[in-house]
Amino acid sequence: MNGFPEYDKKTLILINLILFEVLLVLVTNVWVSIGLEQLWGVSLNSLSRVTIVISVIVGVSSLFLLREINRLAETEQEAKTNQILLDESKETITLLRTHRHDFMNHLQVIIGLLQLNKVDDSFEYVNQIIGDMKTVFRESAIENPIMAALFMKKSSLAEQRDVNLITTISSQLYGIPISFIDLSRIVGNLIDNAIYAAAKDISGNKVVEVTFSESFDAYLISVQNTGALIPEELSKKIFEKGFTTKGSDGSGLGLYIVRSLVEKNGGQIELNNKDGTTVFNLMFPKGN
Amino acid sequence: MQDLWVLFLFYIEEAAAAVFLGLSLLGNKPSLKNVISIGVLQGIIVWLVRFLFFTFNIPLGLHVLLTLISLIIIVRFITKISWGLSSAVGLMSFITIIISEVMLYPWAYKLFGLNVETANNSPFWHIVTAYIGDSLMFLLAFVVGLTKFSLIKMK
Repeated sequence: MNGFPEYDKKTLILINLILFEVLLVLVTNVWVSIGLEQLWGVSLNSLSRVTIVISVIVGVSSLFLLREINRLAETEQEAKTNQILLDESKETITLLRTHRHDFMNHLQVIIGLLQLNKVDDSFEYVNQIIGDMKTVFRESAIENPIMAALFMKKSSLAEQRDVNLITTISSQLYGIPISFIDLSRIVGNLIDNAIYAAAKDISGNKVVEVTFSESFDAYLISVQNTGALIPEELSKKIFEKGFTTKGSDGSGLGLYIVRSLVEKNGGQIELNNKDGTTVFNLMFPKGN
Repeated sequence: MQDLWVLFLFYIEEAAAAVFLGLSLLGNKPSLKNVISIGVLQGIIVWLVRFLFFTFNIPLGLHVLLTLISLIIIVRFITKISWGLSSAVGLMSFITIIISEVMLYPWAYKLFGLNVETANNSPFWHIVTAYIGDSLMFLLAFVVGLTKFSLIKMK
């Protein structure tokens, strides 16, 4: 905001009140001392200077107190963010434990097949596992732990809904002018919507594709799904607060939050219908 | 009668330094262009207000309120910040001026054997006593400009 720190309304009112109080004390003090001296010849100079010093000390202390309160609020905000990260990590650990448990089961099945001398069946079984594991390998192509955890969770969700989640990582998006926490909220919301739309597709081709790439002047993210297309006339409206195409399943806040976060961080979001698929394109300019 | 010398040699400089302090102490890094623009406009308004008060023999005092309001409006439109912020900047600027003047004006008058009327009637003494009266504010502006100190630093 024009080089100013960001003040919320309440803080600004408090600052104004403190400053007004100090100014009022000062001006009243001056008028009283001058007035009394002129009327009765009583000089209150020494007294007024003491009260002026006191009022200035009170005012400055109040401002420093305000700064301290703000610092504590920031710390609290950081703690909340860390709590979210911790929860995400816990979920990831649970997911990894599930994978480990599944893997142990797979090994036992393979050992069983080999003991029964069913070598061809064991080969087939191993190939099936490799196919399943490809998803995990794709997720591990994402270096950022927050995004990797997000994709791991969303892969699990996609699997539950019988949707094929494909990730194409041509860029790790290092240097993108948005925190990975905000980015994970944006991409997470878009993937949730895409999985929801794709899962409802009765044609059977249930695919969600997420792409991370970059051009010479921008970071690009796209989330594409094969679900029902969103009519062009709604392409702007879907970002409005309270608007949803999910009926009672939706709150109408997801895409509104997504757009707010994107714009807050200097990016752009648009909806396109391409080759019969719905695509949300995100763009964050480089050098911001 | 307010002489134009006072406008050019003091009011503009005083307003510029005060608004620089007001903006800086609230965490802003004011541009020179904005500080000068505000200084010139506010200087002219202070000069006009005092001119009117002297012309119509209105005792000074209320002029503080009028010039405070004008400063808030000027800051709002030059820096394009919110009303809340411009009002805080205006109040902060006036506080620094008044603190300095309250501390030093009596001393300046005593030093030269003057009073408010005699000092204001002579452009030379008006400028000299005003600079002495505001010297604490100018010094503070210099220190703040040098150290980039601000009372409130918020993210």
